[in-house]
Amino acid sequence: MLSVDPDTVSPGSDAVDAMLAAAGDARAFERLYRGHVARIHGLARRMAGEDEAGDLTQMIFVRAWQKLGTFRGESKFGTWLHRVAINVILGRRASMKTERARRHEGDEIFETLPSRPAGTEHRVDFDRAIVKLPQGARQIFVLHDVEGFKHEEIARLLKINIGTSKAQLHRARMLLRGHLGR
Amino acid sequence: MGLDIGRDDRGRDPWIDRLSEYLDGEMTGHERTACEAHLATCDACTEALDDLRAVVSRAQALEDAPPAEDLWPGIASQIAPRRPIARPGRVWWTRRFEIGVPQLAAAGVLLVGLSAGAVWLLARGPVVRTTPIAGVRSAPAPIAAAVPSPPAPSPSATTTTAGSGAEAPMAVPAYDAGTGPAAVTAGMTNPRYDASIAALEQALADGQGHLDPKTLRIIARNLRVIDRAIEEARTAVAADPNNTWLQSHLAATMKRKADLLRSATLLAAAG
Repeated sequence: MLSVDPDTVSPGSDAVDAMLAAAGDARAFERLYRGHVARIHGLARRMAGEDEAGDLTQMIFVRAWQKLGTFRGESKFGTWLHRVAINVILGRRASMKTERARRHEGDEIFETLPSRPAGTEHRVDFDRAIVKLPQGARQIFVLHDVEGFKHEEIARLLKINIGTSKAQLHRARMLLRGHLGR
Repeated sequence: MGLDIGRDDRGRDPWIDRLSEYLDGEMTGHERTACEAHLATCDACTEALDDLRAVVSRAQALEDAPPAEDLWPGIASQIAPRRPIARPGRVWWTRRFEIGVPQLAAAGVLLVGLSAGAVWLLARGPVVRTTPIAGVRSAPAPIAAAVPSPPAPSPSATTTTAGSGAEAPMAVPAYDAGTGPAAVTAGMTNPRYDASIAALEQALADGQGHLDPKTLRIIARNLRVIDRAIEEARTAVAADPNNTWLQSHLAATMKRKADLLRSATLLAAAG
């Protein structure tokens, strides 16, 4: 093939690769994937759980490929991709029938987690505890405390009021107190 | 919420439910002052606030790790080949395609075939076409016939140009009254030709799903080359409108595009 080998990519070339990918260069898009998959997968895992994270990550990158024509370079590619990811995740979650049942089970599942583990496991446990939060609290916690969204943005994304966003965030934080591992 | 916050009916300290607001700086000045006064006297809320700070700090320090399994093959299988995007004023073959060595080799074979056909036609002498060359639903034609005939000195297919001196005017082949580019010398546009090209482009776009991606890439590459040649020829004719050779060259290039489109359309229809 005539395109550049993904291994030879230089850092900071997202904008160029995004342009190439928008023109159909799958190798350029692979470089973008390699550079951003960890963050996107982390977001998907925390928002939707380990079981769905792989499928969601694939969906996010496929959607990004389809929408590359809308990327104008006005923001960083990572920011644009992150927005695509949030939309895919929230859209997917809204459409899942099983989610309703999970929402009701959230508190119970959370209580089954061992609290305050010792040693180096506490970081993994904290991440796992996030995934086990009740859905509403989890999404808001991830968006606010992990991803840095404001309550106004979260309320708009989740179609809830700001007061609900604040209350759910506090709920999530209080539930996670027991998993600080210190 | 008022500033005097006592315990609720269940004996729960209401301030504890507002500690995130305090932590995030979302309280008004008065609320903040009252909350801090409460914290100075409440060990439980102070401990909770410390925990909340630690939770936020931990959340911000979370590390991302790539998935255990490489997801790229699954993604690649869903994104290739990219479906053409219909854009106003832009036809599908102007998109970028990756061309591999096998495809280039195939293109070379096609080119050799076209060249051989051209030599054969030249050896036969001038040919005056009597059937339309372009039409989406016309009879199939061998791809070798897509090579434009050299300018033929036919009275019915000749455009006389002024200012050419004592030499006989060169002929511009009028391949087809309806779809041929015979009008190039007038305004370099021919609505009927343009309409035929548009119809062929649409027919090919509709049928491209039946074509092998490699074949599609070869066709796209050749169409892009022809489009560039047409643009260059148009520019040259505009700069030198009395140059009959340029007129002939433009007409032949336009015909080549029509023939290639027609062959590709028929190929797609056969697929």
